[in-house]
Amino acid sequence: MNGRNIPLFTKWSVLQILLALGAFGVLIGKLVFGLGAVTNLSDNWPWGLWVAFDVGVYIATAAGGFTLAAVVYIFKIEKFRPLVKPAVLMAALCYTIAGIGILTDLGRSPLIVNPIWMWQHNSIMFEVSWCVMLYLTVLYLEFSPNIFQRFKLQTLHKIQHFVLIPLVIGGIILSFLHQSSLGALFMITPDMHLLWYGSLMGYLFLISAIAMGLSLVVFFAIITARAWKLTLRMDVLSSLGTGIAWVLAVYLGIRFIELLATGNISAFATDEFGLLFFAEVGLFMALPMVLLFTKLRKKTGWLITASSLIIIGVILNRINVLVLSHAPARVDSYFPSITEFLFTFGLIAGAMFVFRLAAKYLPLYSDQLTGLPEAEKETQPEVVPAQ
Amino acid sequence: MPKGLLIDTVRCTGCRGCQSACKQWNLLPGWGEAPSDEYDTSFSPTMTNPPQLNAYTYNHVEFYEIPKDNGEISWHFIHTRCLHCIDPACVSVCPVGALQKFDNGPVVWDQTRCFGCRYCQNACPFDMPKFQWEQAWPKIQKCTFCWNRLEEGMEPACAKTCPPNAIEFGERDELLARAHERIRNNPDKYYDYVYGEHEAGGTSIMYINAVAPEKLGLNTDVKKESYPDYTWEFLSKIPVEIAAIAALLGGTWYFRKKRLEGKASVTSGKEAK
Ligand code: SF4
Ligand code: SF4
Ligand code: SF4
Repeated sequence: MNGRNIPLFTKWSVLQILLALGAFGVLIGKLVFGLGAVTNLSDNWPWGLWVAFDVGVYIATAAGGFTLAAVVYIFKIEKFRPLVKPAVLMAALCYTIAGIGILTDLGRSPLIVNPIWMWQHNSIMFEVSWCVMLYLTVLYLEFSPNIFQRFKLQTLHKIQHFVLIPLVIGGIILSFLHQSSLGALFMITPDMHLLWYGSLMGYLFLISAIAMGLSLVVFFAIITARAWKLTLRMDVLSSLGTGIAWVLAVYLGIRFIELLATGNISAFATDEFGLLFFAEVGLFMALPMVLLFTKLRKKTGWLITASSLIIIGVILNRINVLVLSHAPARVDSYFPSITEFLFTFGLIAGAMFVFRLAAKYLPLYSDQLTGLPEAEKETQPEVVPAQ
Repeated sequence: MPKGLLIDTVRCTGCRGCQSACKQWNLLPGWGEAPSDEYDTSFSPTMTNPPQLNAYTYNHVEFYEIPKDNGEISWHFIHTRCLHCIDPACVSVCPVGALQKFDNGPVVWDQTRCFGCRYCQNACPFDMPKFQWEQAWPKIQKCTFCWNRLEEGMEPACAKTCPPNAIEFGERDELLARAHERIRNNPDKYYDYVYGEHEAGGTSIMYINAVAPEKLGLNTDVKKESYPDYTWEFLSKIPVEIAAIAALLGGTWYFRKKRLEGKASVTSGKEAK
């Protein structure tokens, strides 16, 4: 196994474990005392930080998984193969914490399975719940070879190999459906702030999720390469950077064309919403897009800066669409409670710790050197002794 | 035929009989008796008690003081509650079908289905569904249009109790005609607008008032179209989109595979030479 460089306990991983335990505590608190006890939500603000992260952020971060699976397995652009396995695991973990988040956020958590037998196909939320269930399954099946390989389950591995392409295609369709459905959740509330409202909001969610998911792949590839002394594949990552820039260009193009076509752009004013919009679109999307279009993307520092900006930008977008843009139609104010923050960060921390475990004990990085010329493979100073 | 209620706030005396009758029929605790001391009896700035609609109050009488042209203050009373939309947003968004629209008008919540996602609270253009935040096994609560009384041939408790007959029960279209007639016959008493005739595509509960509806807290920003249509625009395209993506991806995969296999055989052919 290739886990020699990956320590199990560092100050970061201990912090991750503590936060995850905290999140677990909040979950128990919610089950025993109800949502009112652990959140600042109210009839005026029925959805808050948790929904923004569960169905907004975590799901969007998972988009790197299906995008890279499509690029490598369907479009057969082999160059990106080193990134696929970690991306698929990241997606699976993101969906898992999204599932836990939704479970906790439901008033009657144990009934989360109701949509399986109670169908209401006019509801976008119904679509969403089916997509979460199905895509979670697909993701773990896509990821399963790592486990089969580790425990030498050859037959299962072969079966998985046989169904891989249908799985990947199914996963892409589910993701398209799911990511865009989430954006369309609020088409039914035309009283929200118009800078975030429009009939294309579903498709916009899908595209921004792809930018976010790929940025997260880049971000973690650099972080883990540094922390765990893996080979840093800047050749692959910087071309992914160009890809992200194009995705963002398409996104911003569609968004502005719609804002102009509907006239909603006139809702822009120099108030706090205008500021949020400017930060989200200008600072955290347009700026990193420009960075990624230039040669700066070949420098590790700039690449990680740009990808972090995009991650923040899309998080901000989700918070804006799902929570803040509804302020004009609401009375009273809402600010998340400590327990809401603890739960949100705890889920992320827990996922990061599980990722570390997988990196240590599963052949997650077995493709890390794929595509490097033989000569260079030998000279790579930071190569993990992988078998 | 769908039933409705016509609420004539010009007649309303603010006695709060409907609020009490509603609590009585639906066995709802007073605000202060709700199972948490957060819910101590309290007043709103205009001295209504409880301050607003909540999960234990389906019907809430509100007081408005509106200055007249001559500087005097006129009092207006209005009770708020779910309007039982003809094409309800809440019903269309509920993922498990916990909210249902009955043929005779009521929009009713089914406690065996709801899992508490609160999408209905977000979607309702009038912000009517309320949630039991302090409960570990919470319910969505709102006016039921006394569907269980209608079933027995009785009128809703609030309509039955109202002393000045400010809440009239009947067929919706008859009530609508009556509302317009009353406004026509008393143009000096009524503001010429039937709230609920077109709001959100039309509602079962309608209001006529002495002043413009927004002055009595009625939301006039609500669109006139039916709300579920907003989402339908998106949902209706899904089957086509799925088919298109599947075909595209399957096609690409097959094409790329053939290309790469072709290339591979060419190169291996070369090598063989
Ligand atoms: S007023 Fe709101 S809760 Fe009542 S039926 Fe209409 S959408 Fe549903
Ligand atoms: S909270 Fe309950 S009634 Fe409301 S949409 Fe969700 S499942 Fe349906
Ligand atoms: S119709 Fe029934 S539930 Fe609705 S406000 Fe009147 S008494 Fe209450």
